[in-house]
Amino acid sequence: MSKILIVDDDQQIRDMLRITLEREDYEVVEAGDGVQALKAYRAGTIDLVITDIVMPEKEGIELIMELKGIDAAVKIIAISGGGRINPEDYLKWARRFGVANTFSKPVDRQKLLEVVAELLTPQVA
Amino acid sequence: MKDRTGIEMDLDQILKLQHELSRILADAVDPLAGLADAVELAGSMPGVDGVWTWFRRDDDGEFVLEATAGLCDELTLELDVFPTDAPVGRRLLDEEESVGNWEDLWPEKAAAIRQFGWKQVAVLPVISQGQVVGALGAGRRTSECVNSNCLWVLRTLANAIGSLVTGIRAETHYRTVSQNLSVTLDSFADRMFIVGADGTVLYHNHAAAGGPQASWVNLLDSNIELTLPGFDRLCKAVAGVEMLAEQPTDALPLQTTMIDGSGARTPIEVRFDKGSWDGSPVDIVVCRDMTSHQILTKENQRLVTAINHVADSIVITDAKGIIQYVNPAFCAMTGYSRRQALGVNPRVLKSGHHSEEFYSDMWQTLNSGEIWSGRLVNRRKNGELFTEDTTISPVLDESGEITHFVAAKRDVTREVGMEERLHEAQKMEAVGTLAGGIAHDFNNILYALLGYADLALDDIPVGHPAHSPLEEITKAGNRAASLVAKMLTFGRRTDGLRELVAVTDVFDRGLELVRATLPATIRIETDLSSAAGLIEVDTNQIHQVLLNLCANAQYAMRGEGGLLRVAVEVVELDRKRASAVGRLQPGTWARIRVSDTGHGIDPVVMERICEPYFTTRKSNEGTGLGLATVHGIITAHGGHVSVASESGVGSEFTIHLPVHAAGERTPAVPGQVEKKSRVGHGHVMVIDDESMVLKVLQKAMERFGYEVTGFADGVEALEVFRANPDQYDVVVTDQSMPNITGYELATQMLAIRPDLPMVLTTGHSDEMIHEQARAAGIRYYLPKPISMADLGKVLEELTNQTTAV
Repeated sequence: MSKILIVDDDQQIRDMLRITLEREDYEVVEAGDGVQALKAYRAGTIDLVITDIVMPEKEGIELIMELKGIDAAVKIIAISGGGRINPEDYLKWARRFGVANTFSKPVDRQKLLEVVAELLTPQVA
Repeated sequence: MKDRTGIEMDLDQILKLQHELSRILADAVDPLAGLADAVELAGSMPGVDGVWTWFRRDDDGEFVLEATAGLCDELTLELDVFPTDAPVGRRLLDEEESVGNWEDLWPEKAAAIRQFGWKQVAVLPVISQGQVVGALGAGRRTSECVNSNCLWVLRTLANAIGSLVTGIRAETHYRTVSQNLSVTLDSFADRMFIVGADGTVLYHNHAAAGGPQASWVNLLDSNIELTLPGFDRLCKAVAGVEMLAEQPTDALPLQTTMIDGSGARTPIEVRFDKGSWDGSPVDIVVCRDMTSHQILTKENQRLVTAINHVADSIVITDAKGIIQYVNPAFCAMTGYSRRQALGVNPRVLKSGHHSEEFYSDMWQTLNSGEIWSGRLVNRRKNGELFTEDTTISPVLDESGEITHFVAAKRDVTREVGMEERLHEAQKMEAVGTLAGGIAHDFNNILYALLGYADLALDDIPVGHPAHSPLEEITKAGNRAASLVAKMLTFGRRTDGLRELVAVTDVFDRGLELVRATLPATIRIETDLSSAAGLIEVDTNQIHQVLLNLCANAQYAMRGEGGLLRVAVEVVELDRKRASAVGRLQPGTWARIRVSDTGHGIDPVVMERICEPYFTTRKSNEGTGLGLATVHGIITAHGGHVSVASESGVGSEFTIHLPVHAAGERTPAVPGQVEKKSRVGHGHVMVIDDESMVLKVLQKAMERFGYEVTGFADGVEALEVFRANPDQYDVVVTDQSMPNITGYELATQMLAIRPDLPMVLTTGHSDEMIHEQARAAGIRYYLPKPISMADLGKVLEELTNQTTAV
């Protein structure tokens, strides 16, 4: 079973994502900020990271860069609710740092699940 | 002494004497000499021994002796003053004759007179203009009284003396009046001449001679032409006018110039009148000095010119509100010509916008003599409404009665519209800012809401009563999400991130968005077949441009529907063609044409379509920002917008965007950064006001192995740098920053340390800045978005150079 790390400072969203993903039979690990996320990532085999961008402590872009530093092949989906500027702008930066896919909140569940499934499908060597 | 006692005059003698006496008095050049002659003659007639006259004194009315004939000196002395209170005096005042002895007539003097031998006396009143002005006396030495024949002659003499007095009085009066008139005329400011038929000045007043001052010149007997050149011509002109007018034009003024006593020329207005002088016909000429009038006239003309040229409209009405004057600005503002406006009431401009109370309040203020100011919404002749700031002032005469109203009005329609739109824009900006502030939280909330609704939908089968409400929650959530996205567009920064992207990619995606918004009545044709090339754009902004243009096209085709064409192609423009499209540089350009088959754009509107907040739509249909945004975005991208339109045929907007030469740079490839790592060494100062960008750059450089110090504020960075300029090996700065531009910062740092390797990053591919940067000694110029690979390469090169030196 693939293990997914959900990083978001919003408990309600983490819960919702957890339920959504667990229904699809994924194992879910949660983190409320970038620091916790790094800890969780180091703690166990994570197949996919779904992270928010604007977060306290260590925010999304920073987290993405550090995760890529740890493992250049890490699969990341970035989600942003936007902030002072358009969410698209943050996500562009995220794409530039090698995240597999980006979504603007609110995220279309079906599309998210499709991307997750695609990313976690074992590559045919 | 003669003795004619008993001699009686016959009728013929009496008549002769009467005639002779009348003639003497009437012909006398000197009235007193005439009187003396007449009295002398009367004294010589038979039946009397002496004749005398008394005249009454002005002060006490007593009779005083004037002329005598045949009297002895003694009697003359006794008769010198004859009192009115004597019996004969009272009879005289009653206009009665007295004939008798002295005892009856003047008892007090009778004895004295009788001692000189005078016995009988007759006294007759002399009457002039109904008043007793004197008396005529005749005396006899005999006891016989003065007979009736003598009395007859004496009455004739008394009458003739009365007439003489009347004549003297009249002459005296005439002389006084004449003197007074002359003084009066001399006090006039107008110049008066009496001119004889030959042009000789017979009379003139002081003013005519230059006034009573030193320059007085006597013009009497001179020719009027000397003073009033062209007098003859003027007379003829007046005569001519009279003929034309077929009626006397006594008061007709003519303008000319006169030369006064001092030789000075004065503009005057001349009036002629006919009169007679010593029985001969003369011209009475009155000249009025028009110097001050001319000054006033000139001042008036200046004022009128000013009023005619002011942008504010000026209206003058009479007390009843009937228009008597309007200036050209009024005509321009209202569309009514001067002829149409004069004589009508300004209520023709009423728009119905204001209540009757509004106008009655206004009139109450005005009729109480106070100034009214306010804003009026009125209607032009063409029916259009306009707003004017108006000040109406009542004009009062000396008695405080209102004679006129003067209104000054300024058309503020545009300002009012601008204010309204500005408020709207400010409101939207506030909404945008607010949206930007809450968007993150709001999107999280929406995400939770929609996510949980989705989860619930999983468990609730279709057909369950809760299924459709949950779907409605999802729909509502999606609507809220799209609203947030729209609001964010207003609050957006304009310098979004630009990427090098394929023309076809940008417009494929853009047209997808357009299709989603088009109604069924509008067909869309697209052609992207020859659009191969890369453009460096903010994709979101270009989509915005496309959406705005298509929304306008759609608006133009509302109702009937039509065809929307979007053609995108990459074209080579030579110098001639490039300059024909605005001031473009020759080269490769992406050309986007958006055309519709709508109603076209009015030429008047055409001039203003790119003005911010200009809109032809109703307030709820558009913000007036659409084309301004298009213009702003395209210009910021180094491109150009043009429009061609034909009324009733449609409009075509053409956009040119610069195409990047193929292979110059490749789009950033995700994941490329990771391959470069930990090769650098050295200390990099990085400055960018956008904290997110700063953080990213800082992280990237740290991962390249550099020691990095980041600053969000250029001024602060400069201070830190100044304190220890050798501490940094490379400085990387953004160009667009609020307090100091990257270029200025670089210039100041290079002044401190000329060998400092500097990198300028910018979101705008502006050739000029690029050139300036190079000229100022900035080593590298990196356009945003920065490719991390490029950054790594540049830093590596710069730090190696410094360590090598």
